[in-house]
Amino acid sequence: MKPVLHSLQDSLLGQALRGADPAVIVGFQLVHIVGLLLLLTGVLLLALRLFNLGLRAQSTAEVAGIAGPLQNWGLAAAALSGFAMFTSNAVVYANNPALQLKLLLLAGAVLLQLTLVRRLLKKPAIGALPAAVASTSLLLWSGTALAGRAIGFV
Amino acid sequence: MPGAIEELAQAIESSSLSVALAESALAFPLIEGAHLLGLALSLGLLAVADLRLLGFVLRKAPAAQVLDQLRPWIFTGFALTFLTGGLLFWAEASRIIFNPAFIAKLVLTVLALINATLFETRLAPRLIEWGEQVRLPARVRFAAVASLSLWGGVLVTGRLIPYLS
Repeated sequence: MKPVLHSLQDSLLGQALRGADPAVIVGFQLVHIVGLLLLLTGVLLLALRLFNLGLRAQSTAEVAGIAGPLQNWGLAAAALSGFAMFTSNAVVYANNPALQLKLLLLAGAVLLQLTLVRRLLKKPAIGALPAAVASTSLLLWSGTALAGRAIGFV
Repeated sequence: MPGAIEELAQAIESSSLSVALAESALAFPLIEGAHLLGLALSLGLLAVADLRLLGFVLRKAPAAQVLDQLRPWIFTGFALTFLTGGLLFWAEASRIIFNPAFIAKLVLTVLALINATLFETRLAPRLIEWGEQVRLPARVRFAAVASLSLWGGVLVTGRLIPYLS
């Protein structure tokens, strides 16, 4: 693992970001937070619909039609900017417990999204399953954001 | 005037709530996290409402119906955002009161709230008249663009606060 981390932070991207103007880092932070908000908004929209708490006049498919792109573009922006910031100091970041927790929660959230959430959107289920999946997804994504917020504090 | 503001900020920061927040290792990041989640609820869902007003999403549904369904959640989100934002300010009042990013954020917030109040009192009650129209009158679209840009500005200047202190 260690050689990979070293080669990441010695890569062109890693070196460029380490020596970069603070304004560039701020730019990456802004892309990261906007991406995160888009992603969370998509998760929230879908959760509101699956819980029957909001947008009840729309079908789940209609809500998923907005939530899907928000989640995909949001995740792409957050993941790319996050990866770039990670390369600037990969060895130190990899040992940060908050980041480790964040990556674990992120993996769980993406896995749930690709399996149960996707299946639920294709074939709507009745009973408690939609709400259970929506709340687990919301918890995992919120946890990812919270753990991310803690990276600078631990 | 700056002297009075500074004194007030100092007084806030020496209050017991402020000291408790500053001394707790967990409180500050947790409140920041809650502030972020509040933003997804408030600004995120508000952006969806604005995009409907502009005719970009949920075109088949009447704008009034979309807004009525989202409004309670947006207000809940703003309650959470303002409460946690107030606590974060309370914890470090004297350190950020003259921070240019913080001042810009406050000004933009006030402008965004004026825009929201005007929209809610003058335009929202009339949305029902425009029924299922995808393309709403220019003043409605203007309010939506103003909302998206002003709250976007609030988000960006808010994130800049730690970099300009």
